[in-house]
Amino acid sequence: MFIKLEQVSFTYLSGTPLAVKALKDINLEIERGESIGIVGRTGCGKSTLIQHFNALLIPESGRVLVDGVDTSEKKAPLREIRRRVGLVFQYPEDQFFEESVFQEVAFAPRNLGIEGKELEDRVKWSLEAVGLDFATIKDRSPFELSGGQMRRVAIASILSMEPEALVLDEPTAGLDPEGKGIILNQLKELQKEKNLTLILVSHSMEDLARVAQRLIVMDEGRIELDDDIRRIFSQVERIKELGIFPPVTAQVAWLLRERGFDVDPGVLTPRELAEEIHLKVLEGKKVNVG
Amino acid sequence: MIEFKNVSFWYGEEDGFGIRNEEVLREVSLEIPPGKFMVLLGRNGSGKSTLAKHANGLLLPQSGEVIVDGMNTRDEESIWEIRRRVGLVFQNPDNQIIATTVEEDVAFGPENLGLPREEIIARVEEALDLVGMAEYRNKEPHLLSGGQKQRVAIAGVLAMHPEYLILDEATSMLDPEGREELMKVILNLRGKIAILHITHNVEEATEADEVLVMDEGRIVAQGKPREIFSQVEEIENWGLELPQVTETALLVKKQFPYLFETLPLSPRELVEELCS
Amino acid sequence: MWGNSFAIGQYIPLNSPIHRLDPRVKIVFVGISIINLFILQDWLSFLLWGGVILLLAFLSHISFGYLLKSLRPLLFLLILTLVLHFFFTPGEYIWEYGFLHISREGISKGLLIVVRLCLLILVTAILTLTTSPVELTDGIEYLLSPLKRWGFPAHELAMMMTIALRFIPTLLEEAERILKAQTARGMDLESGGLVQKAKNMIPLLVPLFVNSFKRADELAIAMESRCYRGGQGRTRLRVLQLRAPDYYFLIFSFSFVTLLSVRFFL
Repeated sequence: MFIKLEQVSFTYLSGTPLAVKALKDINLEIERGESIGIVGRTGCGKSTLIQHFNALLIPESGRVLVDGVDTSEKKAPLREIRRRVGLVFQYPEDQFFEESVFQEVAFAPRNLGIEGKELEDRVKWSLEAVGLDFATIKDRSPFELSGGQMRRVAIASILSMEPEALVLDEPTAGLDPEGKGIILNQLKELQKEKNLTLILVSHSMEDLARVAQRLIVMDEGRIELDDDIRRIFSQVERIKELGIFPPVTAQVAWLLRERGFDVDPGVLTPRELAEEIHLKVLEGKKVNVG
Repeated sequence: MIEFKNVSFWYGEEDGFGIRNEEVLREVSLEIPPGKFMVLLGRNGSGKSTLAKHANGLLLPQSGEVIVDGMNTRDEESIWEIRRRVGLVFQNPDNQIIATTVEEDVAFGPENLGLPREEIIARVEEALDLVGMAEYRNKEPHLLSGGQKQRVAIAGVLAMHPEYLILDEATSMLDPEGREELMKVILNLRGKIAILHITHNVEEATEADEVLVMDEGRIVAQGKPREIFSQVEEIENWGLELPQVTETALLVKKQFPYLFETLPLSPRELVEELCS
Repeated sequence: MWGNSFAIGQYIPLNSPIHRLDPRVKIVFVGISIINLFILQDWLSFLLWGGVILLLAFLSHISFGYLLKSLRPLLFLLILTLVLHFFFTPGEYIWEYGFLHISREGISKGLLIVVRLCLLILVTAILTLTTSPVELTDGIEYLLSPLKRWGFPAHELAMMMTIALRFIPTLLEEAERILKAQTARGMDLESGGLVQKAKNMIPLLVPLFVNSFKRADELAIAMESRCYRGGQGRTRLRVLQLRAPDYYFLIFSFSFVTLLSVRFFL
């Protein structure tokens, strides 16, 4: 058990007239190596939830255990927890401040006391892990890069801590289709290579379909659904109720089901959908043509 | 009509060989007629934003001309009238709202035009209604969602009674809900005003009268949505993706070539074709 | 979550007669009060002023106790002033201990000065408690605009203030975000000496500055696109208009101040 949440609740501005209960009795278990997507309409508590994973927030009731360590303990080793569970915020390039990409990526490991050759190796590895060429990019100013490159450098700046889990809040926000593809593919590669636990918060079911195996759906501070991604994809009506846009492929599958075809609604990609259509809808037609 | 006549724009210098460094627009020619709903697609860096900023004279071409309703953007006398007629809405919802309430921000444009107070009040009301934000008139901007802020930005432009509305990646920073809100407002404005919607999200191009694709500073394709989306190999080269529905149809078409003579752009269209 | 109107200054949004007064009138009132309070030296005048402030607090629907809270930040200064005057004013000593002495004049002068300071703070508090930052900005712009003919950038100043007010909540949120992001990268604000702590501010300040410049740039472009070209020829949606209560208040203030001054000079 890598990350565990037991009956976690959290309220912002507790005790003031503006208090908002953002998390209500959350129970959650995350194993090493899982790739999980978290979805929910804006305001459902996704951001609050992920900030509990690396102890940026401490629950007001219940507890969060990271590899057995309770984050609310007085002497909890926060820096170590934050190293092990790396968190990449939305539009992470907003956090840039260094003069060169190298320094930017080196910031986090330096804070952990890493220096010298080991530091350089880490920076090199992190940049390559996000598909950038170390030699050409290391001395460039992070502020002069393209949007997609900045995003990758920002992710590298967390990877350089060598986290065991990587939590990303909308990693593809604001990127074009090409940029999105690059990021999602790199994340998949990384996960395989390092058995990284991957947790993605996203509004795009289509994006999550490419990366996640398990999906958690939140609403109003609670976890409403927590299951294998295909099983959740197929619950088109329920997803809509929870304010989420069902993936296009599942929408088509459901429309076909309404017309009487036994199409599997758990289709994640156009290719899978095309195959289902081939098998379940057109089979009859094919016989006629053939 | 907004006319781009062989517009080139570049940063950096022209060296002795006529090669311009970091050329951002290369001999772009295009027309935006009144009332038309056009969508401009292209990857990041293709020159889309630069094109948008030429339309209202924020940038001036290094060569070529941009003419708006007969007025040249280089003409200092006409530039303010041009900016009234060509309304621009930008990508970042926060960085367009300057006032402390919605109402005052929408009034900003009319105030700049020196309109009498009664006129300003009427225009603000009208604009807020058009974007569906009338109840929010006294709200402070930081309490609004991204989609709401962008609607306020559009209202602020509409209050100046423009002829052309250019949305420079106005949906890129929004969540799906915000994007849907915005597309509803945009589609509602069709016909009333010419619209150039710049985006890299192909799903937003399906209802356009005309789709343009930009790549490396040039316009590389122009046509109806279906015409553009049938150019499958090119789509990827341009850094775009097909709508998932269209992609699915094309995959099915491989085995069943007689299907999908007209490419479906929405789930319903796909299903209709399959069931007939 | 952050940056509600509550957070900026002390403004409390109520609908009292004082809240409804034109901001210009209130600003002018504070101006003449300050001048008057510096001129006056006697207890009766200060007592009368105290009475007026009580009256204003009542009309503002603000409890006097809450009003007194605005003295809290300066409590230390007030006590210090009092003590200094007690001990260091020459005159008839009424208490001695070694080389320390308190004089009668000292007590009298010290109390007078402290009471004056308190009255000044309270009068200003009435202004800030009953006038929203936006109203204040408008009021200041109107009052300063006659100076435009001598080149004073009244409009630009007001525009800057409005934009600053608009962005304070946004910037606060952003600062919080950046702080969290850098903490997630192992940054530690607690440890280290003064120099180290100062260095630790760089990962917080640089991003804020960079983002602010970018924001300003984009904002300027957006403003230009909406035909902004400075204050020339601009009209306004929100106009300030003096009404009967404003005139009554002005007349009352001037009369009161004049009366006290005349009394003082006679």
